[in-house]
Amino acid sequence: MNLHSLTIISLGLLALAISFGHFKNSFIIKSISFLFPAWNFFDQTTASPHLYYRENEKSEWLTLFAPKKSGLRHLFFNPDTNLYLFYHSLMQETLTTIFDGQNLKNFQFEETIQFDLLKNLVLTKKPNAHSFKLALQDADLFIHSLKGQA
Amino acid sequence: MAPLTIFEATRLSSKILSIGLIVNSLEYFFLIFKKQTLESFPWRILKRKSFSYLPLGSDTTLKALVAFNFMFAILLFNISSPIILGFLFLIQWLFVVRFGGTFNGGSDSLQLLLLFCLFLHFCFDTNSFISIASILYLAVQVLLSYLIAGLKKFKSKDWLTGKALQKLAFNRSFSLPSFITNLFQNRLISTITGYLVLVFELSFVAILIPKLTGIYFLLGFLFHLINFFIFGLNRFFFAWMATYPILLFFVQFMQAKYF
Repeated sequence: MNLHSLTIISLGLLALAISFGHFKNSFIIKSISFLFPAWNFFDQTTASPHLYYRENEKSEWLTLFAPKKSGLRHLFFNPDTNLYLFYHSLMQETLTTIFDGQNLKNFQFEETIQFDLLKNLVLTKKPNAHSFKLALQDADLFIHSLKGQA
Repeated sequence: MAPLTIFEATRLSSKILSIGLIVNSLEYFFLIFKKQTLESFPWRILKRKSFSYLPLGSDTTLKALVAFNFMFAILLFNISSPIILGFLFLIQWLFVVRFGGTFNGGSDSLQLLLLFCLFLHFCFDTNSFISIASILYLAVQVLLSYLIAGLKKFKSKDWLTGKALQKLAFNRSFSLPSFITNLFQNRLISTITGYLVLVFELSFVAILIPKLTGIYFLLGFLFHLINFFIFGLNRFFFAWMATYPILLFFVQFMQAKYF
């Protein structure tokens, strides 16, 4: 294989990567984006939002998911941390949906997939929850009452 | 050190990848039998993202996918066949669809890329253009994974001012070992550690220099081990380790040509 062939392939892949950027919101494109990974690791150090629930109108807000500690023995088996990481990416995705939605007309967060996922997550883990909220540090992003929906 | 042949490199990568996939399968099994995982992230909602016609909603389907993943991963340890790699790729891709995205971000992406490149490699004659190009593409992506991650951190004010690791330790998104949290309370230690990460990632391409190859492979191994120890990223450890034999082949290939 010569250098010219490598250059042509590289340019082709680069062109594909750029054109993919135009359709990045398509899930079909997202599902093959593994060919052009973004390689973002901890470049954003800001806090992630967390999901809280409460059991009645006056009770304290409690965290639904908490990160687990890992020890060396978890190198070959760490399901809880990996599930937590999945939850963590769902929270990040939800935050992006809310921020992006602010620029759209008639945006209703309650109509999004992320909202349905959060609501389902709360109802599955805490069937008697009265309400839930998503909060970024001390700021509430939204609060939703589940009264009568459990 | 005798140069690694492309066959040896891809075989060794397949073996390490198979260990990573076995670990993934066991974790998925545990989460499925814990029940709440499936019910918490149901297909009836996630299918609205795409591929809604795929029958991925039932417990049985997911259990079957995990069982096949486990079985093919064991086979991959001994046999690098395009059929096994193709099936494993398909199963991993179905996991991405089922969970509306990668379950564990970068590690799942790298495993998919690795499976895809190994699949292409074993589909064609070892010395054919596509076979070699797929392996070289993978190796370049591994080098980029360090370089791009370093460049993105370099643009971040928190990383440059030494606050990044302190913020990561205290923002409640991760549960770090307590002695690490205590260490990062010291601004000087967190700043020095942050800069060491930056320098390591940005300079990783120096692995191409013959005298530094061994040192960078050792540093890379320690880097992923420490990341696992601090953040619990075990899947990342296996995913990156699986690429190292191919990366070594690439490094030796480049050194033979240009050094």
